[in-house]
Amino acid sequence: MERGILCTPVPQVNAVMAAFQDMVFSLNQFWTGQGCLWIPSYDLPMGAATFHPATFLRALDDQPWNAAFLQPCRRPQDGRYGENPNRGQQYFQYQVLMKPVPENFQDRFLASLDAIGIDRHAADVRFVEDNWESPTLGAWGLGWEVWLDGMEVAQFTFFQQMGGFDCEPVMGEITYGLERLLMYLSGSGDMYELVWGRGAANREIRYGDLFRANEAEMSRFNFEATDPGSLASRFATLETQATALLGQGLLHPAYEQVIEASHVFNLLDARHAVSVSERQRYILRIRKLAQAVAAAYRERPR
Amino acid sequence: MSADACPSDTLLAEIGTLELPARLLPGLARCFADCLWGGLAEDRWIGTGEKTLEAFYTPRRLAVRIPAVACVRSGLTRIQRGPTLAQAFDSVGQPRPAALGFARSLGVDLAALTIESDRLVYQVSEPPIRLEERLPALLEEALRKIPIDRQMRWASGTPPFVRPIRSILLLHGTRLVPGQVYGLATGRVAQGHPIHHPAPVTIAHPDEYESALRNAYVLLGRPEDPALRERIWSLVVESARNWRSEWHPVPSGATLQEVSALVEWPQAVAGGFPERFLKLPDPVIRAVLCGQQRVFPLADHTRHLAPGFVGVVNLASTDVNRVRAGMERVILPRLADALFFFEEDQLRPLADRARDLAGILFDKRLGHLGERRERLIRWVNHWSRPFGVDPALAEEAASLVLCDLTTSLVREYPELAGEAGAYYALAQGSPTGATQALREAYRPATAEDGLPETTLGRLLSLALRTDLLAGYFLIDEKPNGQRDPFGLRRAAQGIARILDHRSDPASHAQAPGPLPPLVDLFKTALAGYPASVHSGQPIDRLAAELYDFTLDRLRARYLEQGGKLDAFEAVAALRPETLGDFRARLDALVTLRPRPEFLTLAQMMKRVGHLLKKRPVDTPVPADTPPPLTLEPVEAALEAALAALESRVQTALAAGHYRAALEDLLALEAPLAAFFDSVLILTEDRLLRQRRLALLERARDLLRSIADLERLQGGEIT
Repeated sequence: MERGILCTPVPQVNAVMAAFQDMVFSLNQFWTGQGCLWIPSYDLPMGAATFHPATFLRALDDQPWNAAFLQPCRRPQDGRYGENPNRGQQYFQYQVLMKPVPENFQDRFLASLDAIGIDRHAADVRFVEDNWESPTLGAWGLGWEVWLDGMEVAQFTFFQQMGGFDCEPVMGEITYGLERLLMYLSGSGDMYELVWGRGAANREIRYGDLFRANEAEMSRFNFEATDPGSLASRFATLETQATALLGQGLLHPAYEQVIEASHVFNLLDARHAVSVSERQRYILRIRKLAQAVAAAYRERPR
Repeated sequence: MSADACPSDTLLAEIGTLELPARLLPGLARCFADCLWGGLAEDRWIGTGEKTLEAFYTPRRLAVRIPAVACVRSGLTRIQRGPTLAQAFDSVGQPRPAALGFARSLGVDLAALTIESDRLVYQVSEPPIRLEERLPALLEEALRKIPIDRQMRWASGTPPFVRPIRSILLLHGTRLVPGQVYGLATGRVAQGHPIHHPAPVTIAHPDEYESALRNAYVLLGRPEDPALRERIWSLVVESARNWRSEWHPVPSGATLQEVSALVEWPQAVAGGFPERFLKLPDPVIRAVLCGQQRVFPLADHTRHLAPGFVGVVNLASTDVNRVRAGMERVILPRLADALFFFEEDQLRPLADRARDLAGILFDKRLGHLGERRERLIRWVNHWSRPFGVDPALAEEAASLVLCDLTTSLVREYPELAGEAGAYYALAQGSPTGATQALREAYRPATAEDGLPETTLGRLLSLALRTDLLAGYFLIDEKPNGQRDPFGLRRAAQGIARILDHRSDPASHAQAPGPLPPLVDLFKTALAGYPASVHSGQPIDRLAAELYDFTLDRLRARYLEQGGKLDAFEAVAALRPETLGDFRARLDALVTLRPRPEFLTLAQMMKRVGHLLKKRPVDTPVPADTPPPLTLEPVEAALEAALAALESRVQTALAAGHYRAALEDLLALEAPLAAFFDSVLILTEDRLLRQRRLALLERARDLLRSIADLERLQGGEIT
């Protein structure tokens, strides 16, 4: 192919950015510029940013909602004691929500890749079918995983149902996997070597400086030090509390019990303390609570 | 309006979308084209004769081009027929509810109706109509008719579709057909390649569609046309050669199909991985490269996998090395994970894992995998000798076949079930006879997949399949229409192919001896389930249903391969015990069918069938009846022919020589024809009648020992 026909490159906002914090700042700047509200992360352990009330609850009403936020996520099963350069029990998602979904949502997402320094004339970006489902939240959506030279760096989803209810209007969700994106941008094969930013004495701080010790200890905790018996009873308590709180009209506290119950279930799972049939029952128990919260939220006068 | 001022022309419709699911893509394009063609034909915009249309697709569009679509449809009169006059009016001429209801359903007054052939009718003349008045609605209808398992909603007030629709291109000749479809105004522009041609592409005429898109860096795929796949494959081959001239890509039809639905401007990029990963078995490397990353493995001239791959991307990158490095960076950790699983799995003997199977559900109504394992062992123990395999080896294979389901490798790559177990068992000292069977146990996985090559492999595959089918038939989970969530049709198709393997070109296996009856294989499987699952259902009935279900798959395959339905049914009517026997009869029938005597014989058998059906209910002849009259010569000749054939045919049949038997039976044609010509069969004389019908019955029974010729087409007496 003749090179001359290639389009002139779009100017890169930040072509040499390769620090984690800068990537987050760029995304904040980009998406607030697209009319999204920047909001804080939620302060409970959760498996994915979908559990954030800004996602789960806001997908359930009919009001417009544009928001962007960083959310630390935990998947106890994925812990590798800080020894696997690609996997950890904690990772960071950057979440963008837009409802109703703008007609050019995909174009905006592509422009956000430009904004963090991805040269789309060099990098192969593809949208590959990936339908999302969260059995615990009674939720599903249709969409894509986004490949950058074959690496999945983001999920792009149109929510169809949340808590068992149809999403109307539909909410669009983009979830960036920040570690992978930055590994791509910096050409690194080890997430612990990623540059986070510069701190005291202008010293370069790496991802591993911040999180490797935590990762090793949390892996030991998740796999070895938790007490499955007390986790199981904690799950039961959370379940009872959630129902009781809903009965008192305390919707947000009830939803917090659901978020926690989901994490406790993940901790149990990491101990292989859940058999196949029990597993299904736990998921159904959480889903029942999530659906009850969703129903209460929708009935609430606004 | 005259049709001359507005001639017929080619129609082009394109739906621009966000990326469509690759697995659905060619099918969606085909359905969309067919649905629009059907709508246009039904609405009389095109002739209903030969279907001439072209379907196109890329990940971001579906398109169809149809020649000779009318521009103006002349006026027509539609007639709606209502109740008869007697139903419509009472004796004094007052309208009854039937008349009033008919008028109401049409939204007109009773006075608007007319009478034709003693009926109320409603005639409405439609004026001539222009294409643009109908086409947008027809297009929207066609899109809604495409069957889609999960529709996406993306905007309020817009109907759902498989993925969001962004543009509608609608041309009739050079003319834009204006209108609204899915809330979008139609236009004459298509999307070009997102990077190489971000500006919209204007299409001047439907015939320029491919070339205009080609110039915008978009290659169109067409369902059922391999051109795009061939082009991509040649890029892959070239890329491999440029990367390492001594390596070549390993073909994978599924991967090629998938990548061809993921790109608009395919470019191949080769890359490598460290050699240490080559200690993984080939199927594992293939699962990582093809299954997870959709790239093609490379092999050296000895056909051993080489540490490299070729991927297909959607971009002529300004920095190919970076793309290569990116792909390598994704593949490396995946191979590392696979190697970790592979080594970790082997820290434990495979047989040890049997006890973990009790913790894994097979189906919540059918129990856990530990129970399934016990059933498989019993089934294999029952049938190993009849199949001529070493019982000890068979039992070892059956006891191990499910164990790899608990390994990390299979949990990550379910398609490696069987392969993984075979590898681990071999490394841990199991005999190759057993491990080869483990490797083959899930074959054939698809309609194209090869069959197990060893008898033990076939036995194990049959065990897995009959157990699966028996279980789901016991709990009444039979496939229904499109729904077959447990893959029962595929399982039965595998059974049909394994047992009918002599006819299967994919098989290299030697013919085994006579096999046990098919229903017995199912009965053993059914009997393996506990009484709680049976809940009192008769095993014989279910086994017969499973026999029919398997025969359905055999029939479908036989027809796909160009076989004739009537020949199949002529044999199926006899319900042969084994599929080998079924095939032998069918082959005999098909081989001898072109012979002229055969045709006459088949025609006569139809006539015999009618006569025997019409036969009066005769009381048995009393014992003191006078001796029958002497035989007519033609009767004597038929009797002699039958007597001569009966024992010969029995001998041939006992040896399974259907062709020889049927060939012998062709000799019946002449005496039967003479018999029909010379004697009256349904004569008034009861004794004569009984004697003649009995002769015909003997002839029919003899032929029916091979097939029911009455079911053959083309034998009608005119």
